[in-house]
Amino acid sequence: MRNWTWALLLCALGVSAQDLAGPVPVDAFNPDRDRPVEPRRGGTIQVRTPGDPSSINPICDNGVSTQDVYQYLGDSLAIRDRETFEWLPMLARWWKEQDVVVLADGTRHAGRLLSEAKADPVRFAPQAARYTFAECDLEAVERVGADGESQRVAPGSPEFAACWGQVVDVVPKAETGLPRVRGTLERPPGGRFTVWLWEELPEDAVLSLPRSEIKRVLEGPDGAKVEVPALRQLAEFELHLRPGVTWHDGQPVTAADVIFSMNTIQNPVVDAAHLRQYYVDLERYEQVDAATVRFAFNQQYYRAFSVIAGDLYIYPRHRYEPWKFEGDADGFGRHFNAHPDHEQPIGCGPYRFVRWERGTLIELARYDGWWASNPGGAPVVPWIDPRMPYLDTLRWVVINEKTAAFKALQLEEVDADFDLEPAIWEDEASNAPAFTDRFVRAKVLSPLYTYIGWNADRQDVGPERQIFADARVRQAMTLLIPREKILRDIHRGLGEVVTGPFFSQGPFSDPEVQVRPSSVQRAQMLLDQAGWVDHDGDGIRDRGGVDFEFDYVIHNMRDYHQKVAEIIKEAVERVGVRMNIRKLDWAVFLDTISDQKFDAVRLAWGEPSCIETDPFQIWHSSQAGNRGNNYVSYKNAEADALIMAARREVDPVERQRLLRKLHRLLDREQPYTFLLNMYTLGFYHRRFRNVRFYTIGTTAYNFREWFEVPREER
Amino acid sequence: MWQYLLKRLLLMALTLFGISVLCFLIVTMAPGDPAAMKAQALASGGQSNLDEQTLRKNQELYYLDRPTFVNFEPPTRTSTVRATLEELDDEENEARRKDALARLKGTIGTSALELLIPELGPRVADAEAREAKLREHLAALRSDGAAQARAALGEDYGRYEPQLPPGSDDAAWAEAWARREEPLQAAIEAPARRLLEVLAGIVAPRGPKLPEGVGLAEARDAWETWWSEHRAEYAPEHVQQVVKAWLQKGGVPETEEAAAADPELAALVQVGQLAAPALMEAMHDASSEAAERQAAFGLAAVAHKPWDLTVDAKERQAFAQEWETQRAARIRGWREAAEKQAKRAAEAAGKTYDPSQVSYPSEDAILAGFASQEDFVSDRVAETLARHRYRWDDWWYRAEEYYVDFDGGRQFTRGFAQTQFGRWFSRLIVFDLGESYKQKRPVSEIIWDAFKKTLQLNVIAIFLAYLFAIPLGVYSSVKRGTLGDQVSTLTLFLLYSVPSFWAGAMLILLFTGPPFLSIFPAHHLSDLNAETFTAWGWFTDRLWHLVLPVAALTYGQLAYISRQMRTGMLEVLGQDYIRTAKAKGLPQSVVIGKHALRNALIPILTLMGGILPMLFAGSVIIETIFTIDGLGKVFFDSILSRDYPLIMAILMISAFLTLLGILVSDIAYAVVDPRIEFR
Repeated sequence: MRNWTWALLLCALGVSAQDLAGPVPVDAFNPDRDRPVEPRRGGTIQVRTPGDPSSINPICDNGVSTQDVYQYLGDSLAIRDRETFEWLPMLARWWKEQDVVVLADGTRHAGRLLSEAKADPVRFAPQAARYTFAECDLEAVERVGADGESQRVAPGSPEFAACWGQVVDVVPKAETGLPRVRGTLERPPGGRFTVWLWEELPEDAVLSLPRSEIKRVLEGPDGAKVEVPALRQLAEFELHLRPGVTWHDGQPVTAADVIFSMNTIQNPVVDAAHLRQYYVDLERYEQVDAATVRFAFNQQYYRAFSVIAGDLYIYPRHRYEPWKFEGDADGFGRHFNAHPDHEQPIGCGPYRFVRWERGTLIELARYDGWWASNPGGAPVVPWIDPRMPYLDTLRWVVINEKTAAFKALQLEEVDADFDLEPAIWEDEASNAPAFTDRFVRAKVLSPLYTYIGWNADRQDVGPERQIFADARVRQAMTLLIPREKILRDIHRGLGEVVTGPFFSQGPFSDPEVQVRPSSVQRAQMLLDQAGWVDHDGDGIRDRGGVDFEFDYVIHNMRDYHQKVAEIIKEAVERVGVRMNIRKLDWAVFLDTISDQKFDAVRLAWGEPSCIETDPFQIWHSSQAGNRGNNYVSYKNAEADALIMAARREVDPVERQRLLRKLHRLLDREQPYTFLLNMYTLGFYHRRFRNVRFYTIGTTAYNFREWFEVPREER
Repeated sequence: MWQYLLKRLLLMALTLFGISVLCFLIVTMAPGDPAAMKAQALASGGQSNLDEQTLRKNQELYYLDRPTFVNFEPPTRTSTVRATLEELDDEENEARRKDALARLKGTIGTSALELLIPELGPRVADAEAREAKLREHLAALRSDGAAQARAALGEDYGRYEPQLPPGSDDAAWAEAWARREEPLQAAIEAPARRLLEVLAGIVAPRGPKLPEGVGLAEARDAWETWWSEHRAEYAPEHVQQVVKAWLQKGGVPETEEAAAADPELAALVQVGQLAAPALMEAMHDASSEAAERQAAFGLAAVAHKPWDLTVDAKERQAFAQEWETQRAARIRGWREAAEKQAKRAAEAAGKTYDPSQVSYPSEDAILAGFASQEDFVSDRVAETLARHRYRWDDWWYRAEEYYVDFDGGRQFTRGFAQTQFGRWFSRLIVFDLGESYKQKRPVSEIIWDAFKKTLQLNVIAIFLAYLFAIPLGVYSSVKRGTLGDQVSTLTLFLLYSVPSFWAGAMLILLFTGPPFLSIFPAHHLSDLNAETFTAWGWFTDRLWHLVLPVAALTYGQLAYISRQMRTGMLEVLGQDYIRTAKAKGLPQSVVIGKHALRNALIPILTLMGGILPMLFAGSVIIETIFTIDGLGKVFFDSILSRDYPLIMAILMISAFLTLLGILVSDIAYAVVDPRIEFR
């Protein structure tokens, strides 16, 4: 049933593999890229940051700079391969995923769904699971050969290739703790290093469940009715931790740490509201033994694994001593929020904390006890070079001002800056050989777009003034706004025009949706159709006695908003629409937006990953009003249905189909006028090699893999 | 004069109080709930992801659940226990129920026992009555009173009402309701069961041993018997004895095993939270550190808190490790700096860099001035202890009401203390400025760090401004109308009109690197490797870094003050006594320097009143441009992120300094001008 692969999907949809996943070029922007050098340890990088984080504690602080630093201090249970998007085991060595069914009599089974979810009867193999583990943890597999004899095949041997898609008995390496399981061996889509094993049960153990026996509505603990889907795919996870991983103070990382971290995030006094929302569907989580944790969700949610394995920050329990706050969760919450360790964190990642001089610099040094490092020896896991991380020291140097930062680069006081203004990118000095001989200019797209949101339900005016409730008006506005001109004149051409909310290089953007070229005539036609005609001859279109006049709010944090606003104003005034530019202080601006007291606003959305994207928060009608993120009050039943279906869909291919459909729908409806995706611009010193820029991850670059080449070899 | 001073100081205190009330009011009335703001300062994803519980908890944290100015019913132990019991029965809100359960079990603990035991009887009786009624209704469902019974059931147990198709007969209804019997019974028994759970949790591992699924009446009887047998162990006299025995013990167990085997500690833990008030008092009144530690250790054990004023070997080891890390980093930093220097030198000399030729400084040189491990650890230990003491006080401010039934006098003062303003003000007067929402560290620490930087900049800038402005003003007034006066007037006017952000940017562009001059550094107050410099090197480096920001800060002031000086001087020069002095034949220098200047300085003194707050204020623009984490920037950022504790603290300090500045300049007036006297 799940025998699809990315390759298949790509053929079917006619997209090139490069668009979705695939090798990311190494040193793409470095002129030395063709001169191969052997990676080595040593060296320091000093990277400029425009401001300090407020603490190095991502549980309480969702600032970008906090996460920038913390990603080197801590590892997660698993991580997505930034090239193939397959899940790679990190702190968790292997895991099993199960479907859940709840029967009318209240019996709950975790196992594998063998039939279609909608089939009647449903075939379900209780206890069975899908195992994920690294191929290198496999001693051999045993399969029944053509002669009926059991045959042992080692990975890497020529016969092994024939085992894919076959039912085999796996013989894991003893130290992994993996059980011997029989099942179908499969490579995850696009994967290189890991294996999926779909566990098989003997036919007599498989349950055949008529649909009538599957509960529709569950009752909560005290009899109250709670809507919980009784059949949910991939809703229970059991992860087994890698032995021998230690915190930077030498203590082992255990399952208790994972549970502690989850407890901490769930504590309402802990300032983790931004994380808590990801775990609302987490039904329970528990420690099974010293190295095993189990998570169960009460909804089928495609991100379920991602939020527990990829996004969960794991903290050292022994440093916080929660047992000393027995019975006083509030007290513990306060204790955690202000814990002194958040100024000098202890993690389990490849770098450990050295010092932080507020307002000046943060320094991390390589942690030699990192579990994946083994210099001079064999790799611990094939996807991490045992010499990694190569750089001895990472330093973030705070320099607020951009000119001063550029000077610091030129003087080689800092080695890299990824927060550049287009003016500096275009500056003569940064293009002159004196600079480019020493520095690499990198220009990459990351998942972020700017837009103009059209408020369909302004809170402080009557129904006759809801100008942008009509999709035709919004379409007309998009046709009027000269996006190419804005890109060219304001942003110096450093970006591209986008057609929807999904990252253009990611899987969910439908390539068939074209950028709508500006057209004043078509815009006028649409406005006429919508009833906005200049009835009274004063040069302003009106409808029902109300002039077409709207408020465009901007904030004072960046200069170019005013210029963009003026370009738009000029464009719309040509067709008889009056636009008022309201410039507001940042805090007031935010209040105005959340209170929905505006007609149009230019803002941006960004996210760390182009494949985990969930349009629910921004586009679902339930998120409109009440200060939610759908502050343009976009309400569309079809969009709601697509969003909910995509949320539940665990099959990536189907999810892609649904979200592309949503993309087309949003393009028709134009709740936003989607503007631009601006390039991330960066300079870094040419002596750094093995540099790659990715479309997923906290930052587009990853210092774990950078290394320094001495001057003599350049 | 002293009388005058005293009067002024008293007035100042009064004004400050007024300002604090005003400050507090502004923040209270500003749009947005500070608790939501605090949580929102972190979660940018829209208010919708703030659940009700998070909001409520944060409100409690900042005493926003209390009245603003006067609390007519400050909570006591009895009222708190009653209120928590009510929350325990909140059928609608599970989070709240759980919270109440945890609070009774874990926080109020044994302190609630004598109030909870008498609750058991009525609860069980109530459950029995409701159950009897339920049975009656269920039986009636099959008989004549079916409709009536159904209505009654629906009213009492609406949440559980079966959904049957319309027109279903009585038998169907009876059966449907009968299927719900189990959850209904559970719902009926829930209040009593929850209370039993609380009781068992409080006295665990003691308490009557009850089998699984025991009947309510039986459980009640068992508990009542248990209580009559053990009541004396929770009586005030016994508690006092146990606390006394513990305090007189002299020494706390060093290891966990020792703690587990300690009889006095075991007795104390058994008495539980009832001992908290006595222990807290003992901690406050402790005459020695050992006595304080003894009390704190006991309190930590009964109140389940980690602040036992002890730093164990493990923690000491962690501090030592921290010291090692910093030491290693320092050595590495110095070596790196030496390598860098060697590389530069080699480049300058046109030679190739040879790593083996680098002369590294000796370890002694590197570690000169670096704290010894002992000092470092003892500093960190002292820090930890101070934090523990602070946490205890902070905790007790609210927790006292869980354990004490206050008398009338205390209740009167608590009526003011247990309010939003009372909490804020009581901390303010002991200079506890709270904790920043965003950085989660004490506001005083943040302000002090920033103040050190701002002060350096401003002292130098103001000093320089006066140093140049006064002679310049004198010069241009004496030489009024000459070319020199005109040139200086024009230049100063131009300077005055140059916006500082532009000047700062130009200074950076021109003096800090290619393509123009590369003389001065463009960021921070020290080189990044400044700690590898000698003391003299460090000092010159600091001066070097100060040049540009000070220049950018000074020129505007300079222009303004010298204009003031010129005007003042011109006025004085027109006076009769100056003409007299000139007529007497006094030399020009004496006329200007003695007669004119002293009198002309008076208006300048008025300006000086503003210096104090100015030293503190800092400049957002200059500090941002030159990456100096001064107060201006901190204040600006705190406003952007609505970090209320930080905003209020800075406002209060500025207000205080302004008042002080006015006082100082008033005194200076009297000193300079004999016509003015104190009155």
